[in-house]
Amino acid sequence: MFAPKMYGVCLRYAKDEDTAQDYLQEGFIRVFSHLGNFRHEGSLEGWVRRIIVNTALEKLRKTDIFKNSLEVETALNKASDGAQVIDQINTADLLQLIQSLPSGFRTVFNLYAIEGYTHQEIGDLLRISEGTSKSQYSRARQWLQQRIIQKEKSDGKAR
Amino acid sequence: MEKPGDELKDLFFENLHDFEMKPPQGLWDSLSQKLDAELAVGNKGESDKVLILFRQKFADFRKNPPETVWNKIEQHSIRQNRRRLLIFATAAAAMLLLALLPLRMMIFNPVTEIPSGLSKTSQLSTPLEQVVSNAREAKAQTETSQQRTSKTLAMSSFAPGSESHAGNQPLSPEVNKQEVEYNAVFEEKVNEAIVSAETKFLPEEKPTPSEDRMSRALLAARILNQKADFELDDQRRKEKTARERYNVSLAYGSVPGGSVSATELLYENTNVRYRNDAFQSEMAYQTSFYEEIESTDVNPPLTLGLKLSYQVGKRIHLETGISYTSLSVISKSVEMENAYNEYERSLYYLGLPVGLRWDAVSAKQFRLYLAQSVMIEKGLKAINRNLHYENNKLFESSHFGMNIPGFQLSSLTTAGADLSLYNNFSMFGEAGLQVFFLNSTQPFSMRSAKMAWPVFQTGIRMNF
Repeated sequence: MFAPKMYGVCLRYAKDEDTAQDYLQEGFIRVFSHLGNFRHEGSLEGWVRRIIVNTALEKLRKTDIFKNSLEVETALNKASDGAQVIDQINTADLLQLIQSLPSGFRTVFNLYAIEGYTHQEIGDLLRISEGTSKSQYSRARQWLQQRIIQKEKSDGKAR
Repeated sequence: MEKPGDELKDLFFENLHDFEMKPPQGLWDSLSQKLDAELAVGNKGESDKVLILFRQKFADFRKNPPETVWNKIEQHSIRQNRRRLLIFATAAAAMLLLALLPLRMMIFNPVTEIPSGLSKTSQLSTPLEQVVSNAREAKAQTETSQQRTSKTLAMSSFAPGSESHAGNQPLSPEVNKQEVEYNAVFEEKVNEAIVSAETKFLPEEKPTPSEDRMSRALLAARILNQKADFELDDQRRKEKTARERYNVSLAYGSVPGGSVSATELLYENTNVRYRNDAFQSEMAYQTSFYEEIESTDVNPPLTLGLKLSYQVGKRIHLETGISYTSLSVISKSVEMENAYNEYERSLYYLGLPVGLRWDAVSAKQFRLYLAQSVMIEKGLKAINRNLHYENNKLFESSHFGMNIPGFQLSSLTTAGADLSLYNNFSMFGEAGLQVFFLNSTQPFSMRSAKMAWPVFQTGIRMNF
């Protein structure tokens, strides 16, 4: 029932489909083995989603998720920031962009922009400081914006 | 006097105080949409169009996962069930083996019966043992004859000539005759033994009669001395063996190192098995099903044990006893608004170990051994504490006790060394691996998080 939605969540946190499938598999094994713990006091979907997100975060925490941040930072400094965001860009392209983000940026961006966590909460979840979370989000945003503009330009030329 | 303005106020109050009117249709929908739009922008600022774009696009994003994911989940479940079955089968086999081994030893190693027609002498291995045995038989016969003589004397009122009875009166000629006969038998037996020993020990060249007498006398003296020494040694050896068949040990055990804190100890970890009791459910509820748990610290367990072992084979000892174990787990919740909770659980167990110890190396001062045992433990009590901290200071606390149902089964494999200290006392140290089963019947502890743990035990052993 929730599988497509949860797979969507996993795709956002993972760098590729294989990793997303691993997250989904591990997450659903946890869901099934702890189903007895659910007390029907909140939304089941919310509970499942939190387990899936937590699974993805746990896996990401095991790797050094911020290791590629520096290289991207250098690239960002050269980028221009004046263009407008195009609303018409499709979800598949955005997903591809998210997946191409370095894991640290991707995780913070997902948690802040899509899940709605505060920077303090993200800091607690990822065991980083609130400032790091803010800067990671800011750079991720800048990086995405630049890619979207580039994509729009290349699409415009193609048309 | 009533003011004119008050009438107007009353008029409005009476007409409008309980006034009700249904809001126009679609008002709530439009309010909801406005709220959603505001939420989308939220505190992040209206200029954050990237955020809005992604939120909108991924708000209801879904994609069907491939079938292979479900196959993998199913396979995982089957594998886990198989593993559980294998673990139970191994534990059951180990217990059965341990239960049957002493029985097998009793059935197939009965006390050695000497077949009729063969004397004990013929089964002895060394010539000296044969000589001594012959001499012992002769002495036994002599003693029996002396007893019979004494009995005869006791029965008769008069026994003249006896030095040991009836006031040093001499024995009667008949009794003297009997004694002489018995002495002759004894002498004959000793002579036989000496001749037998001579043929094996002494050189073949024939001695002169005087030398022969001398050597016989010396040999007889030697045999008698050796017999006495041998009997004494034999007696000591038997006493020592009987004494060391049992030993008692007092042991202290723990896991090396300090507290353990790792992601594998998280409550929602797939491999974790534990019982969901009232405290656990409350904790799960308060921490959004463990998602707000920041860390889980497991304190090193403390085990005190009293072991009794009995030697059932040349190098094998059967061990049993009683052990007391204390376990403690502290989980800390994420700090929010300068407040956090700590959930502390202490568990106390009483265990009954049954196992075997095999002496691989046995020297005078020390021995090295391997031991395998199974232990069944019953939880005595669980003490649960809930501590609430604000600004890093304990603000509120509550605690309650709880019974622990079910049993904890474990298998303990160790290698150890035993060093003799003083007399019957020795010091031992053991290290090995303990694997815990039936964890899902027990409250959360270090054993629920990881089945296999290293163990270290040390203590004093007393042989008696």
